[in-house]
Amino acid sequence: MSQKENISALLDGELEESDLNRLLANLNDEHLDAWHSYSAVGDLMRSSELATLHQIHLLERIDLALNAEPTVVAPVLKASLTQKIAAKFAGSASGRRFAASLAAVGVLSFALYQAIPPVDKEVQMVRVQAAQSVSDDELALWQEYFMAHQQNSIRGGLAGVSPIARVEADRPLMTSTERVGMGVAAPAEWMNVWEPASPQMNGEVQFNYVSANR
Amino acid sequence: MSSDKDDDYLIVQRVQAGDKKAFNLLVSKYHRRVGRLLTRMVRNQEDIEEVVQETFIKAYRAIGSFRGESAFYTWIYRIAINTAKNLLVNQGRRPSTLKESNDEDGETFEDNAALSNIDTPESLYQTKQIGEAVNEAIAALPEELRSALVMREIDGLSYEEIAQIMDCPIGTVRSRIFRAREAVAVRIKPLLEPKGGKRW
Repeated sequence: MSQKENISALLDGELEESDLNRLLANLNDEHLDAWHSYSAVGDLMRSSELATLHQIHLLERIDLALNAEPTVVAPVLKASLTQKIAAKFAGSASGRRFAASLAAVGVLSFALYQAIPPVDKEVQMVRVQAAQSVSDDELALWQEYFMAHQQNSIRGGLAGVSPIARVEADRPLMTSTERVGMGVAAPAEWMNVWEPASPQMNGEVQFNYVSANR
Repeated sequence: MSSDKDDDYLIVQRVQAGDKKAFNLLVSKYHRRVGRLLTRMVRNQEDIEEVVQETFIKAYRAIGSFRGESAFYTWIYRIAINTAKNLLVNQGRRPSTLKESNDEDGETFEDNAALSNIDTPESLYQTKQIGEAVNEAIAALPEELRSALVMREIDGLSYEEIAQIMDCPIGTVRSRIFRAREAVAVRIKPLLEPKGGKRW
């Protein structure tokens, strides 16, 4: 196969990567000439008006201006093998089918997630924020907000599915053998913040009262 | 088999590695299409050429930031549009309305009234002459070469799709398209060369 045929295939994006790298590494004036002429043929087939824009002096001007530019040497981020495989896979029919299936699962998961907020995750998120900048009072408000939000969100969820899941999601995590003790006898309000203390040897979980102010 | 976008990015990676000559491939491939895009914004042939040149220089300077997340032609067209807008603002003119959303890929070559502003009697004659020469060159091709080239250049079909339609191996399609291009190029080359010199 001639190099000019490779040039033609390159113009169509139909050259194997190994051939392309070899061609680019050995690019000479003859190849450039073929590239210019073949690309002109395509453009002129699509519109002869492009002939008015086919100006060799423009190419020469650009070439001269480029020569005056310092050579760019940028770090080349070669696509990783995983990215290449993913790209090839995405381009195939089976890949597209798989992607469509994945998207469908994703949409369903998102809908379920919206309908049934994972309580533990949300509380964890609040605690992470509390560790950074949120005061105890703000934490109490956030917890109350999430509780209220959780109760409201179920009404907008998937009819027929969410109530059943809701029952499972709301089931207390503690087993019947666990006991809960209160570190403060008389909290000022119903909605307060409690944090678990260090686990006891006998399996009991001690909760300490953190805040009652709103 | 890589796509056109992937091939462009591989060329870009050569440029990023310091191969200036590889950038000429991209200039040669896209300068007419960029120019065509600009005819919808800039009415003067000299300004168009200036913007085309500046576009590619800007692109070369910024090539290190190109990561292949979009197609190269999308990237270069955005640079061209911004460069043209800057030119018009500097000239104290408002950029004319551009159908960027429809024509961003620059692959649409419909007639446009703006083109008439850069047409001179000489360029109109040249355009007509070249158009006829291209048509004659294509008409003179053997049927299988002509079909393969038209399916590729006009219909934008891949080699695989053309192979299925023509019921032949992909290697044959590739060879037919190359031979067709070569034959047409030989016939129209004298028309595109300036008097006494090489035109491309």
